[in-house]
Amino acid sequence: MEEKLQTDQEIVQHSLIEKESFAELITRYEQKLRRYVARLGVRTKDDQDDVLQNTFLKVYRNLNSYDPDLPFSSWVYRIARNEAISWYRHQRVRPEGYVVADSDEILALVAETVDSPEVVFDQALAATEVSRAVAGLEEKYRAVIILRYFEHKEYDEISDIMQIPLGSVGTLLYRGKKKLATVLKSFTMRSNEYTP
Amino acid sequence: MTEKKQENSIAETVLTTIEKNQLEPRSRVFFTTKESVLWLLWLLSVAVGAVALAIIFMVCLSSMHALHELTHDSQISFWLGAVPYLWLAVLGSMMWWAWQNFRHTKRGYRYSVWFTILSSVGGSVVVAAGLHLLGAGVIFDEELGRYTSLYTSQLEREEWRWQQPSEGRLLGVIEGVTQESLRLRDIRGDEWVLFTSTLSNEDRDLVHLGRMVRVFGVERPGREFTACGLLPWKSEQRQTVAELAEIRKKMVRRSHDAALWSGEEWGQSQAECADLPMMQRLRTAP
Repeated sequence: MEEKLQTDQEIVQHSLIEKESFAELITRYEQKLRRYVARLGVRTKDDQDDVLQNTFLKVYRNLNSYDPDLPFSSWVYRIARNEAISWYRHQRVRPEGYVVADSDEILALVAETVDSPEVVFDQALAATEVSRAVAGLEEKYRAVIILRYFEHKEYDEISDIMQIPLGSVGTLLYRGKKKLATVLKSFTMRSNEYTP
Repeated sequence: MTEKKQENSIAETVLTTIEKNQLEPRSRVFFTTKESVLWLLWLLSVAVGAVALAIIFMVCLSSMHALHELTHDSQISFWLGAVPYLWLAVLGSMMWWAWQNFRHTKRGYRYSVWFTILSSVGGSVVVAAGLHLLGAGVIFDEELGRYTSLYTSQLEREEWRWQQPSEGRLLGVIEGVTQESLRLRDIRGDEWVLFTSTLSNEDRDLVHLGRMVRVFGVERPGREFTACGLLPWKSEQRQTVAELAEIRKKMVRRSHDAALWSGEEWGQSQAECADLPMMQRLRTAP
């Protein structure tokens, strides 16, 4: 008989009684969180392992503080984000995003939301350039852009993960996209200058 | 390494660490207590903010402000000298603290900075209004002044503002009354003879042995003072804004009436009273 798939909330309840159940939560979220912390700038696998282990240990220790009204994923992403920030504070390095994404998708999203329709991006911009542009953004803008366009999170989820008001999510995204558009435009212009 | 193996390794490491260090989830009581402490701190900061505001209300909604021309050169010097900046600073700090505590509650981050600050300020305003109506602002101010050496209460400041004979202000207790004079012991303990020929009937109604009064007038040599007017030191009851406006109106009218005394047909004392800087300021008051 096929076992009924449990919700995150149900596994949380089981984990409080039987710690082995917690492995199921780790399995569910490890890959997603690994990609997320990588995008936040934790690049090597060993470092990611450290951040993830600390994240899951913290999740376990704080299971009783989990508010079932929030999606579990938001809560776990929040802890992972805080752990990643602690990690690069501990390493004393400036966090640099490392985003690997479909550049066309990001370009389309940015182009459709910026004010100036004349900002037309060169669709040939490589994913590495998009990554470089995102990585160069201020942490607060980069954080919302990563969550929105790379992790595909909704506004309320971003609000819960970053612990900022819903209105601020919109503001940061709008400003972040504008900044990203400016940087991407400068890349396009520079590449055009070198074109024979 | 396959993805499955990788997943297992993190899960295994985490579970092994949990086993090895005998880690347990923190109890629900711990988090409930933490949340309650944050809310209590928020309430505390709102309450302290309310005390600060009640004392500010006390200064702004009292005769200190209503008759500020008697003690200050201008409205600006009143605000610079009489506004309790310490309490404004306390209010500001408390509002910041309230915001921090609110923000760190479970859902606090969902609200905008303005919402949290305004709700904290709003809470303080409501409580402060209640405290003010109950007269608690004065009590807090006086008790703090009494028990804290570093704090000078607003009332004490006002006392010293009125104990300035050279500037035409005296504060003391009436110890003797004759037809033409009063004997007054000021708050420094010095005895004064006050000439009262220029007092109005309303002023004379305030003359009772043992009563503490504010006197404005002209200092004379030998601890003598020409009293141009008397005011009660503290009113028995809290005065409403309308009552304060009426007191102010009367004083302004009085300053205009005094100007009529400055003619030669009136005595020198009346002329001196009319020329007092505080009377001149009141005459030009809006």
